[in-house]
Amino acid sequence: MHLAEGIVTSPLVLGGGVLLAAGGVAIGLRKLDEAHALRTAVLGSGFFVASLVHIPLAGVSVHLTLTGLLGIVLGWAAFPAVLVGLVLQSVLFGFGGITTLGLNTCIMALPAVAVYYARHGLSGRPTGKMPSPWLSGLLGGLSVALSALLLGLLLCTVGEDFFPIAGAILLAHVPVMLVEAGVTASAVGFLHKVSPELLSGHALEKDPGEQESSVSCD
Amino acid sequence: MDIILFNDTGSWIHRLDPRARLIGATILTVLLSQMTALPVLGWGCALGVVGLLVARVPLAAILQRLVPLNALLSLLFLVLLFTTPGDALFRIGSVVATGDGFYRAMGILLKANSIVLILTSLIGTIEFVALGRALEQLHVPAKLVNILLFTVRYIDLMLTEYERLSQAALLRGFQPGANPHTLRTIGYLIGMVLVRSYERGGRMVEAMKLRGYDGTLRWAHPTAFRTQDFGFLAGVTGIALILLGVGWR
Repeated sequence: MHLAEGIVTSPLVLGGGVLLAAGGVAIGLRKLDEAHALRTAVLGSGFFVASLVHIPLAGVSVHLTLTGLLGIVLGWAAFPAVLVGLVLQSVLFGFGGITTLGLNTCIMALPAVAVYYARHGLSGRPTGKMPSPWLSGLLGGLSVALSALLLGLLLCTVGEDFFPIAGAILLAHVPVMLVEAGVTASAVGFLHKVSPELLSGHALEKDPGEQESSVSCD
Repeated sequence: MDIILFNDTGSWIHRLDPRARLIGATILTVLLSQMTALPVLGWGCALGVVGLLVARVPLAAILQRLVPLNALLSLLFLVLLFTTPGDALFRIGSVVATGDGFYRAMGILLKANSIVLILTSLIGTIEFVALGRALEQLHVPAKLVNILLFTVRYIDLMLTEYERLSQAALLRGFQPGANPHTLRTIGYLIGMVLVRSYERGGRMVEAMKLRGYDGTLRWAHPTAFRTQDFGFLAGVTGIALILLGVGWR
């Protein structure tokens, strides 16, 4: 789900998107040291591949965005990961372009960060508590709803005649939400058993207490 | 989805410095996004087509970009054509197509296509490592450039990983459909891809550390902005000014 070029053209909205995305990316990058930036990149490529997966759904096929899982695993690092993913989509497939890059980053990354805060509280400190699959599924579904809502709101800034289109987009995302919720719940259940570290919320945090095993890159 | 690369056809555009292409594409697309006059947007499309011809971009790659885009836009086109108020152009039954609606919908259609065509010819032709380097030279943070370069490097490997896992699922009789079982299985598959990418990333970081990685990017060959790059940018600026002059109201 993203905004195509040429629809939203207000310099105020486009510029606001760029600033918001730049701020989010800056926060995300500050939370990563050099070594964890690379781990983010490799995980990001995993998410990129996962987003290419199509699920048949009564005649049409929907593809996953996995925003909820992105927020659970990456937290603020979702911002740089999403930005890079969108740049790649733009270069490889021609989806989206330069002027909407900021807005599209926000559409995907803001819900991911919201999921991160929904899990760890407003202080943003990872509590180390594991998310239950059910809660994760709920968050996964809600994050898609939030993305669709952001997209719809952006379309509404264009003009009144975009209201029905925004409504149609929201409606079309209801089945996507359900699929997304199911897949997120199942993936989190799987990660519980196989790699709980990924769900702890500090899989990618800088870890000053562990100088020995982490790379120091100063 | 097949990835069609066209970053090595050796055309004149390919020989330009990637920085010049990035800056030129940014100038043109930001300008076009602000234009509303149909002739200007039409010229933007023409410019994009010229760029594609000069860069010798394969037709398949162009279609791969334009078909989904225009499928989406044609829906929007129809909605705008029939819902924008204004003087009637023609009517089908009780719905009225308006001139204003046509003008507005056509504007969006041309704008989106011109931007995608220009981006394809100027940025789609940049090889990824060169793109990362150009971004770094344009003062994009090295950490972000590293994330870009390593994501590119690992997408291919992760795709292979995913294909292996889904083949294993198919061999065990998995049939995707609209049911909970499919969602659960795909969730497991995705979970496994993430676990593999996480572990692989860990090993890669260790290996990088042993080789003295400190987050800085080191490049083997120097690059220089040459006369042709300045010429290209001067040309782009000239075209941008002309479009601005024609389209300004």
